[in-house]
Amino acid sequence: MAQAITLARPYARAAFELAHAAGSLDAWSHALAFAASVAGDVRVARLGSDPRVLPAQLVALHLPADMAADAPFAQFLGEMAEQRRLVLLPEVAELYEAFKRESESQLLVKVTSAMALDAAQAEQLKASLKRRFKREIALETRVDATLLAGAVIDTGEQVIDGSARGRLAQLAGALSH
Amino acid sequence: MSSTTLNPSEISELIKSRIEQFKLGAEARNEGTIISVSDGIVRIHGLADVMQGEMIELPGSSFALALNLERDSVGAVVLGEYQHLREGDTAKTTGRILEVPVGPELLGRVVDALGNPIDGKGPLGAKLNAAIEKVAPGVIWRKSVDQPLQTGYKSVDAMIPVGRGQRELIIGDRQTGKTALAIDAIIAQKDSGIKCIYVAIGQKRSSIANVVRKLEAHGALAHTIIVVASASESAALQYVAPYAGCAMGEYFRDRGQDALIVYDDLSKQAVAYRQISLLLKRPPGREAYPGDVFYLHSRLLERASRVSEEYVEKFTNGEVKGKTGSLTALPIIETQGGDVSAFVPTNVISITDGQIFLETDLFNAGIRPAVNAGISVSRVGGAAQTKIVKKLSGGVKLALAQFRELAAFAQFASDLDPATRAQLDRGQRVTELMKQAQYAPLSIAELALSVYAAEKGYLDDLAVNKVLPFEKGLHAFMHQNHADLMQKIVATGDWNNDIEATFKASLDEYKKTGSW
Repeated sequence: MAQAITLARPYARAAFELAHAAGSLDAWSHALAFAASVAGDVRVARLGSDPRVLPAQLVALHLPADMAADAPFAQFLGEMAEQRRLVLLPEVAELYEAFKRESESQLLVKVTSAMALDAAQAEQLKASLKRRFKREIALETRVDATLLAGAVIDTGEQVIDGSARGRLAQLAGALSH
Repeated sequence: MSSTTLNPSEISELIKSRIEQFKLGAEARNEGTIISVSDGIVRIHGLADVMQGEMIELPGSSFALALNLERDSVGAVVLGEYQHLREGDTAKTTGRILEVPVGPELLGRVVDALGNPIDGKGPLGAKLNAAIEKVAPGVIWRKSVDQPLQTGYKSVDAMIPVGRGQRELIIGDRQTGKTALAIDAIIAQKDSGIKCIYVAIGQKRSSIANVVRKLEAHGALAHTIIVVASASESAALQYVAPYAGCAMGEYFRDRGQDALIVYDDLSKQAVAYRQISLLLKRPPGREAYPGDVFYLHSRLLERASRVSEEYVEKFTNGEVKGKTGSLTALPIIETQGGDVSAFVPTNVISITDGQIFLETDLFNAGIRPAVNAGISVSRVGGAAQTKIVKKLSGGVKLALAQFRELAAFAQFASDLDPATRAQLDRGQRVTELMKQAQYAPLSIAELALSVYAAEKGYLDDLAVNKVLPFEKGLHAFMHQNHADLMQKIVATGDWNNDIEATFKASLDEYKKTGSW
């Protein structure tokens, strides 16, 4: 079975290219985020597989209130509804954001630290990450006391584990085999 | 972990050395998430930087081998147990391909496909690790096969000689003595200095235990490494085991030594690989094997080779000079109902430098080893045969070939002309002479003596059932009266008029005693 993300990719790319051409990347971003949160609801998911619900009704359900029914985004939703792919909206939104960041040469970095970072630390981290990855850094911080000390930096692909917990795990691995 | 028993001091020593070697630092690695686990196959989302064949670290200190790199996921096969893995677990790349310990420390040991000892004799203490997948030496670094590898079997050494660095396939149905032949070849290396590796793939643990016991009983375990991926182990380990064994053999080859590796057997490895491939949803081809099953065996057997002095010198940075290295492979293939035209047998026949056919009919007729001399060949071994054996064994081959042509007429023996009858008689005796018990390898001097006796007609007037007792007595007689000559032949392999005169005189003398 193909994965949801594989199915979502063509829709996300189409949405991104449409938005990029129209110069409305941020508007699409907000609209997609809204539609994704609607699609993520279990009650909506049940409606999606109900044959009595028409595609047009589903589109109206997912469309943000401030958007016209003939806006390009509404047409995009209409196409997805025709193909019965509205359930993929969360993945589409996620991929869309990735495409958007890529076009802005921005990198989303999730930092989990044992203690909350203060502003100076965050700036310092941002600067050194920018040097390392040669991209603009969008920082997302989280606190997890179970790391004991240090931080884990997750760029989505690369994970830099500088936490005490990670080092202990490394030591445990080295001792057990 | 393997359940080896250690005493407490050894454990703390080990821990100490590991802590000393442990490098602490922030680790930057590619991470992904397991999205499914089924039948030993994990699918992992993420891991954008993973390489084909790379080891992937999974929770619970287990590892997987990345085999399928797809757009949004990586298909990997877990090496060993997979019951503890869950959807959502993290998987990390390691940047390494699978490695096993190598070195002389492994001799006399039994290890699994990943190089962990399973014989309860404690840690290996190997100093080196080697990647299991390596590219075979290129043409420039090779040398042609010109040294013999004695298997100790009359029928093989005389008619289908194997050279060091050759790949000689042993093929036959079940219960035809394939393993016995390979084990005897290992036992025969006791004094030759050739290191041996026996890779058991998909076999019963009881048969493996038997092999280990037999090798030990005949003093052959000390120069042998046994790599085991038994039938109860995962298909991934059965697939990996031959490459692991090969890496252990290459250690000796690259350092100017000679090694012999037996893959017992490659049909089971192909079956294990088929299982992995089908579970990874690769398209099935002939006999449901994947498309790259030929490459599976060709890249393995290509690593068996003879390398030149320059290669050894370059590899060891000048430490070993003027020595060639070799890795001789004896792959084993089991056929079903004698069908050698099935997919895997034809592949391996075409890859190897010759094959030894073992047949059920011959085996049941009491001809053991059940070698069919007519269709067994060695494509390069002739160049490597010892001078004396090469000189003398021609007659045996010819006698057997003529005998096969005439065998159909054997029933009408009384109606045949004397020449034909003589050929039939000679053939029967040579066939009888080629029989040999297990675990009784012959030296080249004994082999030369036996074939000389056959060629010069000393057996012709014996009853067929007296041929083997005659031979046995002859060997004892020679060892008693001409021990120095026998040793000289073993050492040099020469053949000249003096030796022939001694052979002739001794045979005449022995024949007069009539003591067999």
